[in-house]
Amino acid sequence: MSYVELSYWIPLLPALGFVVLILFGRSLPGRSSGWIATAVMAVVAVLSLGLLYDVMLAAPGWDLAALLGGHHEEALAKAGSPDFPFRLEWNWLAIRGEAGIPLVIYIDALAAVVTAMVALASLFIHLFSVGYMDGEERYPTFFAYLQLFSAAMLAFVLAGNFFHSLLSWEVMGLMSYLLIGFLYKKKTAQQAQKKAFITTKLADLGFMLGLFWLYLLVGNFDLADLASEQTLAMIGTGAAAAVGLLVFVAAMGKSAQFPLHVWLLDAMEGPTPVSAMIHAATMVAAGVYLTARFYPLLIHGDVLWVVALVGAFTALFAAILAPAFADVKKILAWSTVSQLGYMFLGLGVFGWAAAMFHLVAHAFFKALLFLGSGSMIHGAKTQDIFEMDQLKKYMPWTYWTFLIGALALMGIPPFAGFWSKDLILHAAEEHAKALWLMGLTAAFFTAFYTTRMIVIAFHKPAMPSPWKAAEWTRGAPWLNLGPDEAEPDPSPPEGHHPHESGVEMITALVALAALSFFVGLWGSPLGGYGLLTLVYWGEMPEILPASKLMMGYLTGTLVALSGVALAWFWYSTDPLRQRAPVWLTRMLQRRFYIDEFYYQVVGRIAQAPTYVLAFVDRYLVDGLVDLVGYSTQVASAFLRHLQSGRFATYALYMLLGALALYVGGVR
Amino acid sequence: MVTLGHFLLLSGLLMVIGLYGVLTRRNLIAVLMSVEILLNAAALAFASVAAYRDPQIFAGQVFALFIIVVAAAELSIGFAILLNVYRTHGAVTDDAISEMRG
Repeated sequence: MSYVELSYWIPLLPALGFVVLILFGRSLPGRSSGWIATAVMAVVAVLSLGLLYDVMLAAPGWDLAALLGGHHEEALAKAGSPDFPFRLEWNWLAIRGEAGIPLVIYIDALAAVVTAMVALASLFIHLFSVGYMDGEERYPTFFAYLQLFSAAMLAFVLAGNFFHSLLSWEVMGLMSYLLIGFLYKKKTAQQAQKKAFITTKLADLGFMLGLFWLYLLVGNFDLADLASEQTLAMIGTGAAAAVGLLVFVAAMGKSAQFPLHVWLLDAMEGPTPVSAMIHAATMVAAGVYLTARFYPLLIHGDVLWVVALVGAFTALFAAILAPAFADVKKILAWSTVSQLGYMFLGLGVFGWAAAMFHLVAHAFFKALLFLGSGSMIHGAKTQDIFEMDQLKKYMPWTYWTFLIGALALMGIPPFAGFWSKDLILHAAEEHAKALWLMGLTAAFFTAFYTTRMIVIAFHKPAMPSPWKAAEWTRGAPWLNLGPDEAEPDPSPPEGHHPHESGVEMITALVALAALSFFVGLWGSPLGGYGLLTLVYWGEMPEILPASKLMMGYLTGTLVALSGVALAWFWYSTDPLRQRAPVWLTRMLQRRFYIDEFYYQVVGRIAQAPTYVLAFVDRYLVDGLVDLVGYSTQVASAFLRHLQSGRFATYALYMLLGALALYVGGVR
Repeated sequence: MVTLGHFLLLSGLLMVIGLYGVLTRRNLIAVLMSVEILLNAAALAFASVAAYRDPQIFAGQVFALFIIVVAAAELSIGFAILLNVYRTHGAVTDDAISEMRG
C-alpha cells in the first residue's frame, strides 16, 4: 500500500483528533490531550513525508548539468511515472446519477511539498504547545482547535477541487477566529478575533464570486483542469482577469497583503503557538498557495502585474513599519506580512518556483521564530523586547535557535531565506527594476529590524520600555478600543529572572532550526537545487547557475549586512535613544492610521444603510406591534371602570343583563 | 275580592323594594335583609300562582318551601361571611370590601 493511497488520512486524522478532543478532552488527565494531539500530528507527518517520498520517486528526474548548460532537450533524465500527478477521486454530491462535485485529492510535487511542510511545522507547534500552554484553562480545547486548524490546511493543500479548497478555506477562517480569541476574557482579543474574521471573510467573498463565475465559464471546479489549454480557451481574457483578481483578493485577505493586512497584527492577541500556526504552517500560506494554483488564469488574464505590485508594496510597507514596534510578536508579525509580500512579488514576476521555495523556507523559519518568541515570552514574562533581560545569558538554547531563524529571515548566507529571497529578487530584477529596488529596500529593513530585536532582547539588560508611557499607546484605537477598555501589556514582575523553557519547547525549536536550515540547502546550489527540480512551473525547471546569480547574491548579502551593521551600531550603544522624530514613531506605531481609518470612515460608510433599515425596523415594524399594545391599553383605560369593586354594581349589571335577555326573548 | 293580580302586585312591590335595597344600601346586613325580601317576593309569587291556577297540584307551594330552606341556608352562610368581613376589615359596609376595584 503506497502512501498515495493513504493520503486521505492526512487531513482525516487531525479532524478525528479534533472530534475526540472536543468530546472527551476535558476528562483526560493533565497534559495527555496535548500529547494525543502531538502523536496524531506525528503520524500525519510520517504519512506526508512518505507521500513526499512517493512523489519524488514518481516525478520526472532532470539532468542538472544539461539544465544549467541550457541543453533543454537533453535535460530529462527520467520520465515521470504515467499516473503522476496522483489523483484520488470519490463520488460526492452525486444526486440521481448526476456527476455532482467529485471529492478529489490531487497530489503533484507542490501539494506534496507543502503538505509535508504543514505537517512538520504543525507537529512542532503542537509539541511546543504541550509545554507552553501548560496550566492554561481550556487546555484540551486549545489542542482540539489546533487539530482542526491543521486538518483544514492539509485538506486545503490536498484538495483537487476548488470547491473543497473553499470549504477548508472557510474552516481555516473559523479556526483562526476561535484561536485568536482563545484568551476570550481580554477585550483586545475579542476585538482582534472579530477583526480577523471580518477582514478575511470580506476577502473570501472574492473567492466565492470568482469560483462561481469560473464554474459558469468552465462547468467544473477541477484544479488540474484549470491549467489545460482547452479550459483556458473557454475563458475570455477579460473574464480570466476578473476571476483571477477576485480570487487574488481572497488570497490578499488570507495572506494579509496591503490593504487587507490589518488583521494580522492584532492576531497576536492569540497565544504564541497560534501565531506560529497562523503565520507559518497554515492560514497565510493558504493565500500564496491559492494564488499559485490560480496561476494559469492569472497569466491568461494578464493580471500578474497586480500581484507583483501588491506584493512588492506590502513587502516594503511592512518592513518599514516593523522597526517602530517594541513587542516581539508584533515585529515578527510585520516580518510575516513583509515576507508574504516577497512571495507575491515572486509570483508576480514569473518566479513561481522561487516563490514556492520562499513559502516553504519561510514556513519553517517563521515557525521557529514565533516559537522562539513564545519561549522568550515564557521565560521573560513580557512581550516587550526592552523589558527582556539579557536573554542570551539565561536562555542559550532559545538564543541560538532564534538566531538561526533570524539569519534565515535576514537573508544571510547560507541560511534558508538567503537562497529563496535572492531567487525572487533575481526574477524581479529581470522583470522590472523598480520592483527589484523595492524588494532590496525591504531586505535592508528586514535585516535592520531583526538585528534590533535580537540586540535589545538578547544582549541588553532590561530597561524601561520607551513608549509604554506615551499617550498614543494608551488604549487600542486600532481595535476601536478606548484607553479604559484595553489593558496595557504586562511588565515582568519585580525581581523576575528569565529562565530557559522546558524540554518539549526546546526540542521543537531545535527541530525547526534544523529543518529550516536543510530546507534552505535543499533548494540552493549547494544542495543541488533539489527542491527547484521537483517543484516548478511549466514543462521543465528553470535553474540558473550560481555564476549568473553571483551578482544578486553579493548585492543581497551586502544589503542585509549593512542593515545588520546599522542596527548593531545604533542599538548596541544606546538602545533607548529616540532617533526618529516623535511624530514618525507615533505614525508608525499607529500603523499609518489605516486601521483607524477603517473603523472611523469605512466602517461608518458601511453602516450608513443600516441606519435606514434600523429606522424601518424601529418605526414601521415595531410601530405596528406597539400600536396593537397601545390600543389595548387605551380601550382598557375606559373598560376598567366597569369593575368598581362594589357588588352592588355587579348586581345592577346582572339585573340589566337579565332584563336584556328578557327583552330579547320576548321579541 | 282579592284576585291573583293583587298577590302578584304585592309580590312585584316586594321585588322592587328588595332590589332597591340590594342596589342602594351600603350596610351589608341591610343588603342581606333586602335579599330576604327578594326571595320572599319570589316565594309569594310561586305560592299564589299555584293556588289560583291549579289548586290540585302543590308544585308552587313546594317551591316556596324550598325557597325558605335555601334562604335560611343562604342567610347563615351570609352572616358567617359578614362576621369574617367584620373581623378583617373592621366594618360591614361595601366600601370596606372594594379591593377588586379595577
